[in-house]
Amino acid sequence: MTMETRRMEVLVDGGSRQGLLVLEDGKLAAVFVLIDAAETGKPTVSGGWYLEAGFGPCGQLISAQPDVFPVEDDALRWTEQRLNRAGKH
Amino acid sequence: MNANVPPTAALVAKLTARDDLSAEEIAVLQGMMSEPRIVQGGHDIVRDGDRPGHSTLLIDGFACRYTTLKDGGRQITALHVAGDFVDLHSFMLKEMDHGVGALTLCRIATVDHGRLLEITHTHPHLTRMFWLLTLIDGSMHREWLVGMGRRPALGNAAHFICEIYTRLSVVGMAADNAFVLPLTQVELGDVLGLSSVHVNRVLQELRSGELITWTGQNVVILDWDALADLAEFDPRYLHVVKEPR
Repeated sequence: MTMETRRMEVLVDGGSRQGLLVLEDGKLAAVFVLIDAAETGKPTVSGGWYLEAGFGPCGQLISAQPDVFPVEDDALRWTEQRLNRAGKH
Repeated sequence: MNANVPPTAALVAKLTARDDLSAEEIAVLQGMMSEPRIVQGGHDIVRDGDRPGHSTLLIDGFACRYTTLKDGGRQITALHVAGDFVDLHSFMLKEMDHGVGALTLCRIATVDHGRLLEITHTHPHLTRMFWLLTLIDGSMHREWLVGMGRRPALGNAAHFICEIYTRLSVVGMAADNAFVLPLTQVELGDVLGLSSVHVNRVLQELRSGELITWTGQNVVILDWDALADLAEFDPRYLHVVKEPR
């Protein structure tokens, strides 16, 4: 499995946000957007990467919405874990 | 909170919005309740798996029915306001299959199931009114199910606001399109089945569309018609119609 990332702006409600697209072997698996603390809706949480859309093993058909990831590496680690788990089935 | 107001005032308001009660029935309601007590916000009123010997009336405050999943995710399946029996169900169902928690400081009173049983023998009309309350609870569950399953998140949030305003109006806790709703965005997410991030966006959208303002705990509906239209809100399911029952 080869994971790669691409960056592009993503349209969300309220404007566009910095986006992080995660691909597995060239196929789109997850789209994260960078949000600030106020957007998390939780006063105790600082901003970070929010799973805007997931596909396949990262999608909401089989995966609960994860919490906001404080740093990009956490988001990538979560995506990798979801993809690896799916690969074992 | 006025000490001269009987603990059953909101319940009586809720019931008499649907049918007249006799003075004797109102006296029975007042006589059946225990002394009020306080439950702090964040604490359970009834736990999943309990077999309570009484049912609990919410005198004031906000409480919720909820179910928690293994991963810690919580779904709030009903929001309760003053005048609601939060677990009249336990009188017949016996074992609780969900929890009821206080979202804010709540004042509650209880009625023993033995007393409720007596009332079913002696007061058939009051018994039907209790039945009506659980039917309206079921009606709200249906509406929430439709909202979470099929309405866009924006419309579902609008629907929730319309519902709570209508219910609070019935018990005299909302007027002139304004009310107090002390829910966090996380709790609102648990109500609407949304992440707190999406709740934040939905509220921003409702604000920027000048449909509502929500400052601290104060909600003001700026344009009821537009909000109700967005929500496809049809209040029939709340059955706020006075007729013989």
